[in-house]
Amino acid sequence: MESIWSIKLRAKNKKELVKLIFSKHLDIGCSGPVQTHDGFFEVVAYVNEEQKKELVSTKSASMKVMILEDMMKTGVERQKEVSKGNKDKDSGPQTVKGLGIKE
Amino acid sequence: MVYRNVEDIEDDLISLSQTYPTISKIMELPQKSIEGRTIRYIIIGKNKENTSNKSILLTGGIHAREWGGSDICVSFAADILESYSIDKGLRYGDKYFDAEQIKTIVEKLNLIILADANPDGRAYSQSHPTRRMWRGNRNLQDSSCFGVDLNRNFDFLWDFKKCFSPNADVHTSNDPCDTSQTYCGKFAFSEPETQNIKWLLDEYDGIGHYIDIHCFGGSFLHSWGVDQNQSSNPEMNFGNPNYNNVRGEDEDDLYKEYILKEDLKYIANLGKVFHDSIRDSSRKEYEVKQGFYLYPTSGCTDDYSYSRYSLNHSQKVFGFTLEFGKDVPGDFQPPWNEMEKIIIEVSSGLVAVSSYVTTH
Repeated sequence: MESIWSIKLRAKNKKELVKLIFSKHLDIGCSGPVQTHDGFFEVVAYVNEEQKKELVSTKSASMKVMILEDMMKTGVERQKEVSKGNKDKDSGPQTVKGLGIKE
Repeated sequence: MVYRNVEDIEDDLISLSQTYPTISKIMELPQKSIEGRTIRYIIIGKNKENTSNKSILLTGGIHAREWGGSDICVSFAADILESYSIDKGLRYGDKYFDAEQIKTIVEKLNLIILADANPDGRAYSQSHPTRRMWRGNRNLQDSSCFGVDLNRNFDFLWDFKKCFSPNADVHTSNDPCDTSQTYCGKFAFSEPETQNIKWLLDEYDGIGHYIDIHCFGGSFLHSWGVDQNQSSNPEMNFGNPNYNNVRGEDEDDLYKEYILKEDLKYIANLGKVFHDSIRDSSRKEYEVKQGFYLYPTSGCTDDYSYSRYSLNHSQKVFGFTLEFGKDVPGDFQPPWNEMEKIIIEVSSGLVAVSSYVTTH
């Protein structure tokens, strides 16, 4: 299976950025373009290899494309932090505790 | 501790209901998931048998890859139940709620918690590193692509091609294979997972608030997500087809969505309570803002629940989308040590909102 990359897109013109998001069918999760303190607009997209190549080729003076992360690599780390099996079946019913301190 | 898998969530909720049977109950939803999983929710409150009792609905895990939402729900439920049962207050970082506040929440409110609304999606997302960015459910479409974005499948301006301006940047797709992962489904409420949430809103007519937990960004989003808000022209509203060609455009005066002034005031007050509690707990500044300023939306939980009132359902439901995680690494799945901090800060906000609702 192919990797997913996170990529930051940065443009001075919001409409140009939005147009790119829609034309390339980009997965931008639960966020939209955000204006930064220097007046630019940025968004992080999660793309496959083919989309990554396309986006890199659209790089121009008005559209910056920054590759942030190979999500597959960090995915291996996150996978280690998912419970394995069934803890109740493995070690019997446990008292469920929240993270708040009771005092 | 680590992120819970689907079975853990189920077991933890069952365990909680068995440990605290007088103030909680686990219930089965009418629809199984696409892959046949039973979906359950827990109801917490002294008046848990009364469906008209003032209630808050919480949902987690609608988007499969946003793992932490379900863990927030379980931890929050466990905290409220334990604190009440031992008559103690609750501390989240620097924010403290005394035993009387917790007692009032349990005795006046029902907390209806659907911790894992999309178990098939979660199971898939957690099953392999390359699948962890999965967002939808696991419904196989005719085109042989999988998945519907459940938070585009609710019956609120669902037909976005018809209801919005062609120039609106509605973040929704009618292509099942769209790589944006925002396919809205074949029709509104086509999915068993969304039918379950509708069922909860229908069944519990005491629900007045609904918080749908997502990530990330650190914001508390309120209605409307359609367009900018306005309170002067009631005719300019989502139900009026005369505005179908102009709805959803940014920075224009052709259409703005109608909202009552008193509702906006209430939402602002509630949002401030949420914001201040998180700030006091963790020094994080969550942003309270209208959903539209993320991007124009259709078929989402928050607007759907809030719109029901206008469509002659008796109880007004204030719908919110909580995007947890501000300035933390890891995007949708922060490292667990970071996720624990998020659970603490968000729980602080949820207790504060619950406490506020008991008196308003």
